[in-house]
Amino acid sequence: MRESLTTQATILITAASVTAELNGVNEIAKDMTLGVMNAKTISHRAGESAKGFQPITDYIEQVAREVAQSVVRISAGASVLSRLAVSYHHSGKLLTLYRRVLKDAEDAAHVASLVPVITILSQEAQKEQAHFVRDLEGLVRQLDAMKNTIRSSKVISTISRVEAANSDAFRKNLEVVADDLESSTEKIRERVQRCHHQLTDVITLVQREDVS
Amino acid sequence: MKSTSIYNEGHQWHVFARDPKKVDGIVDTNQYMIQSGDRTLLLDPGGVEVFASMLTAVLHHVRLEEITDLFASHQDPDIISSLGLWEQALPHARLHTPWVWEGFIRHFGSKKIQYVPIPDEGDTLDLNGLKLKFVPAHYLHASGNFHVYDAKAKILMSGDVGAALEEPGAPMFVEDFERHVDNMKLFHQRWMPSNRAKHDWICRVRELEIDILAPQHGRLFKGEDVQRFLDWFEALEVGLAIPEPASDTAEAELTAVASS
Repeated sequence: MRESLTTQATILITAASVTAELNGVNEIAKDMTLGVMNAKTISHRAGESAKGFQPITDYIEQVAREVAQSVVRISAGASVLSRLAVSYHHSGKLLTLYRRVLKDAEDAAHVASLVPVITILSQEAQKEQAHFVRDLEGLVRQLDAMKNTIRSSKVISTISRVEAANSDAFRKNLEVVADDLESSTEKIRERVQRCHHQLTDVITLVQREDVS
Repeated sequence: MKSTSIYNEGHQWHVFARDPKKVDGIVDTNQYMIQSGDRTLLLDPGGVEVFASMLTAVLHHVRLEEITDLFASHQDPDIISSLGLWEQALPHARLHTPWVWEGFIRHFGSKKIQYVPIPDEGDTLDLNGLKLKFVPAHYLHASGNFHVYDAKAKILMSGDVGAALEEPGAPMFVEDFERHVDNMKLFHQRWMPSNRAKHDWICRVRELEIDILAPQHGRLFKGEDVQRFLDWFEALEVGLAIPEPASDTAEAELTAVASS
């Protein structure tokens, strides 16, 4: 297995980085929830003229909740990454070590007894690699789902801007709510995109390793 | 890894040591192997750093499936940290080790191997008809510690007792006992904690007929050097890292305790 130490280091760094990005997403989702409470108060005060704004605040609340739930799920998966990285690295290292012995002991009378051991280790290393890639792909799929949620909230921020225009007295306040929503979703989108890139890079790196 | 046969009459003893590929800064270790028919015992098989060299050397003598038993005299990394690597090749082997260390030795990445805890009073292993005795050597230096005695070959594998920390490439056997004392004096004074444990071991071992005393570091003792070593060790004060309190200070402390 080539560059396995570098791969392990990359995986560990990615796990830490994804966790940090998701913590950031969580903070933004919390701010969104606070913003929604503020928007609800404003639209309540605006009464009939901001009636169209009320379902929007409910929707933003739902988005913030879904984002927070996704963050919990993906963070749990990312925290397992470090453990998987160690286990994956260990299986590859064992195989390398035993192959080295096979070469060093080529003139030994009983070297053939090593071959079945190496076959088993190779099968285990391939299984470990497939398991690891499967888990990484699962995390990427969860990030994709979060990206879809965020994409729809961008549409909502546009609609909320239209609804804000209908409420003369509170127009400015409701526009601020729409601006905040837009900015929050953009920040979340950027962070999720970075996590996505990092995880897909790790998948490529792991798949490129030959453990057969 | 240098391989030396030290007994070959019906069954075989090998010592593997003086590894030229050994990483700098780690102490040299002697690993032993006893072959008895289709069963083989590895004694103190070594640390992770010597595993590859050790396995390579072993394959010159036995098939992997013939290695049925491992023995760890105690829990130190230079004794058995390679366990997690060995068990990949020996999933059906058994590890004989002092009962006190099982939970600690499992930290060396061992998941599959079967543990056979040795009780404090010792035990006997039947290796294809060859009776090997696990001789208690507690506190020499570890709190749970055993040596292995082969009455037929008259060899005592003595763990850290008799050990010497020397330059790489030292001869396999002691050639001049008096000169060798310098190589082992500090080790025994500093690593062996208890004079009482030492006397207990000396009494036990003096009852055994020993042609070769085989420590885990440094040179092996044979013939008269075995008795020379026992005499020397018996007379040596050990556990010197903690100085004895001055007698007047100790007396004053006792007086203070008595009057309080």
